[in-house]
Amino acid sequence: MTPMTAPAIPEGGDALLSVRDLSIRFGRGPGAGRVVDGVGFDVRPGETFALVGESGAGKSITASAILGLLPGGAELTSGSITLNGQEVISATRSSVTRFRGSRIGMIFQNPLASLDPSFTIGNQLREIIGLHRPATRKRHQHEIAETWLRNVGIRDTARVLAAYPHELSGGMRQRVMIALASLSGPALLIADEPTTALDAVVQKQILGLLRRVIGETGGSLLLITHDFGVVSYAADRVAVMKDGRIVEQDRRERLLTAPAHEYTRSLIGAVPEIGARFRLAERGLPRRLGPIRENRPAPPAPAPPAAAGPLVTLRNVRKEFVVGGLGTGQRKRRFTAVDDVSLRIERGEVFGLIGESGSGKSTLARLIGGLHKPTSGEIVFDGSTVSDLPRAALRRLRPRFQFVFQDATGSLNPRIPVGEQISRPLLRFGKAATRAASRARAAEVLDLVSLPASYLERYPHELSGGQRQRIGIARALALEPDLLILDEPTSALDVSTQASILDLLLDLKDELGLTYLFIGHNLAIVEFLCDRIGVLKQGVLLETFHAAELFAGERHPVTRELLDAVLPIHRDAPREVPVGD
Amino acid sequence: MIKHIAAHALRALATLLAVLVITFALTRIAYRNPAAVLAPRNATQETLDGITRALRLDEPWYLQLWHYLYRGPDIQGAPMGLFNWPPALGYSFRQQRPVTELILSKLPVTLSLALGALVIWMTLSILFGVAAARKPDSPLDRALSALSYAALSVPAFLTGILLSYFLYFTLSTYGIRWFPGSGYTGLTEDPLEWARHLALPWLTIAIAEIGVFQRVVRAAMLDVLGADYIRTARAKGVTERRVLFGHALSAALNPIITLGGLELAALMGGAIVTEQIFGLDGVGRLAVEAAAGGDFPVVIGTTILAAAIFVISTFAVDVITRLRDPAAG
Repeated sequence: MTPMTAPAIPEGGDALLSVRDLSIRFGRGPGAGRVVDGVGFDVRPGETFALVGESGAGKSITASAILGLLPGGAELTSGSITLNGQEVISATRSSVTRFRGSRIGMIFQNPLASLDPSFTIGNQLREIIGLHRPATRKRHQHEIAETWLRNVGIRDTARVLAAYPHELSGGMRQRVMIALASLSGPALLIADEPTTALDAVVQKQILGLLRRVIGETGGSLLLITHDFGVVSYAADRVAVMKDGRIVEQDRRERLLTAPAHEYTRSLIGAVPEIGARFRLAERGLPRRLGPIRENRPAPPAPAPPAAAGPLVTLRNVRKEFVVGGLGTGQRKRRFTAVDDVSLRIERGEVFGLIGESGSGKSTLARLIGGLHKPTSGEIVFDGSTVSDLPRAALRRLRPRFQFVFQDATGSLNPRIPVGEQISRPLLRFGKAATRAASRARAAEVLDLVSLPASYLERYPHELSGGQRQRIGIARALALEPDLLILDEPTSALDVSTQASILDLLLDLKDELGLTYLFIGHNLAIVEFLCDRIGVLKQGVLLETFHAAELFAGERHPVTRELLDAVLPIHRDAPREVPVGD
Repeated sequence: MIKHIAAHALRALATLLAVLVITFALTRIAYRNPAAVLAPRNATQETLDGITRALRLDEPWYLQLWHYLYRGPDIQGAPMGLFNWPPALGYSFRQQRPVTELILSKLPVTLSLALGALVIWMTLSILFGVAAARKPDSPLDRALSALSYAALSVPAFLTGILLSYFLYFTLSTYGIRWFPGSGYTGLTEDPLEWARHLALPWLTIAIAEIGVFQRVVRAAMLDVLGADYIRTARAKGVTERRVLFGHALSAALNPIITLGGLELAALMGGAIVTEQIFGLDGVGRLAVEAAAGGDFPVVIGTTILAAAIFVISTFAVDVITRLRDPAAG
């Protein structure tokens, strides 16, 4: 086959992967949507190319097209994709299959769902060796698998090879995925949001590993992400996508320093960065990520606390769960999720809880919110000891502390209009006497979260992710709580949506004099929003400090580790190239 | 795992005991006195009383239950209650033979029928289901779905009669005698004859079951094919055939095994209609005749057999799905 003449490439050098005028549409007929519209870019040998954009921008579907794995209903309408000058799209099905895994390796977002649950890791690694190097002997296959596990930083290879995916941690699984994708030495590695499901510390390790792996195999990396921190840390060149089009592509430094396009500027501006609130304060600007809302009068000075003393006090709170026992086939054992935690949350403050996943943040929040009873210790909310209250009394207290959850979609009933979901608890808790009164109150709180009253009649699926989270906040606010417990309320949202929700939370706090307990894993957000921060590890509260003291030298090593995992956007500074592990 | 099996076995025993007591009570409620059915047509009152006394049908029900469970050597032959050793299911009122022996003599027919049909319907359902799930809404998928609806809607007696008419009657008028119209030959006697005799009954049962199972396989496959790890397999370069049969099918098999176990158990309790149409002398026929003839011990025996098969089959399904699930440990 004669190699195609490569089309002109903007900046010299031969492209490894070349995408030209790629268009993909979903569905047929007049209702068909163009999800990718004339996309073109090149990935050069040895470089890391990032596709950035918000959800629905068409990043993932572009990656699927490169592998010839378009989901059902999607149809390629035009364009060409060449790998080393060889056309991928027109290649027959069997040759696409040969490309996959051997010349192009792919890493997906959710490492648990992406590994086959019914086969061991060893099985899955050996399968790919058998596919692409059929001549390899069984024993040699095993050796290759072992070597690759070591390459991705897994030491106890014997255990991992014999393990099923569910027996490994999230970070481990993603390491296995990387081994799986890069084992046959592909020229191109595609990583689709490879670290979104992982916590910050693991994210940094995985990104470093990805760069090291392509350094070793001499391949290129096509990185798909929504996170400019990741871009800044790992990419050489960047393309920004919006609504199926590339709005801008450039070298990383130039794009981050001087974005040419308005959309890129707004995206980067929406990323909360470490120290942002203090820089804004220095320049006399309000602490907001987006433009200030103009239609609202300047927030009144926060109302002075009605009563003295902290709103929430925890004294030596401990929570154990019993795991296993009769009927499970496992030995019964106790698991301490929260271990001897004492803390106070003052009226009107925002208290942030940070820690890696599994450190007990959510359990602590549920204890404070009265959803769990502590095994020992006491929890006092505004003078009443929540942990000892009988059910009926706890129920009367409940409207005063409300939750906003991470998964806004899963937290709303898909079969009930959102207005109904906001107004029903009002009637239940006696906050509204009639249905009409409850509807009026629901409309009021919708206005608080900047949604029109017409949204009362909508069902959750008719709203965007950000709007659903606004509904979640409105539902909590309707009951006029004193304390809002926010469990990672923005981590499932796009950057710009996240910025608007964070701004909304700050506005509401000033307007209504609320107290927040904010759980987050993104330190930059926690610092931006919170007055005091507590650090949890394995259920133990290691330290609490004021947000301004985050960088003070005497922070606990665990805090420093979390701080180190933050991926800041380096604008002018040369990239700190991760080398080694 | 061993603990789990022990707990399961205990529950199974309790279930069987409950079935026994309830069936016993039902037989006593359903028939005032079976002596009238059992006796010759022109029997005198004295003969009837004699039969009633001989079968202890004049005693209170709890004594009757006791005699059923622990039968004294008062009537024919050796004691053969469940509590005797070896445990047995009593003595038939009508056939002058122990119930256990009766059932054991009919069991090979029923087992051959049920297991053979299982193999046929599972193989075809999996093939059809996978083919349909490969390209949902394609002409092939639509055709298979129409077939499955048709198979589901036609009752077994009609399928059986149609099969019998076309493949036995019509064929034999042309002198082709591939399938006998009725009867049974033991597997050990002549395997080919065994298969020939059972072919039509197997098909009759399989057609009805394929209607259900093809759809179950299709739904389970569609579910699994949408999973991320299938996308991974494809991204690794695994061939489509291997994706379907290696990765997807093994994950999709669980609901099929569960449902298959239940259906198999129901059939082994007696495929009454099919046995009747093809003149197979199986457990189903035994049960029906016993129920009509007031043969209490046989009614109870066949019911216990069906219940026991059910219990064993659900237990087996549970163990298999547990063994197949790496997360169950």
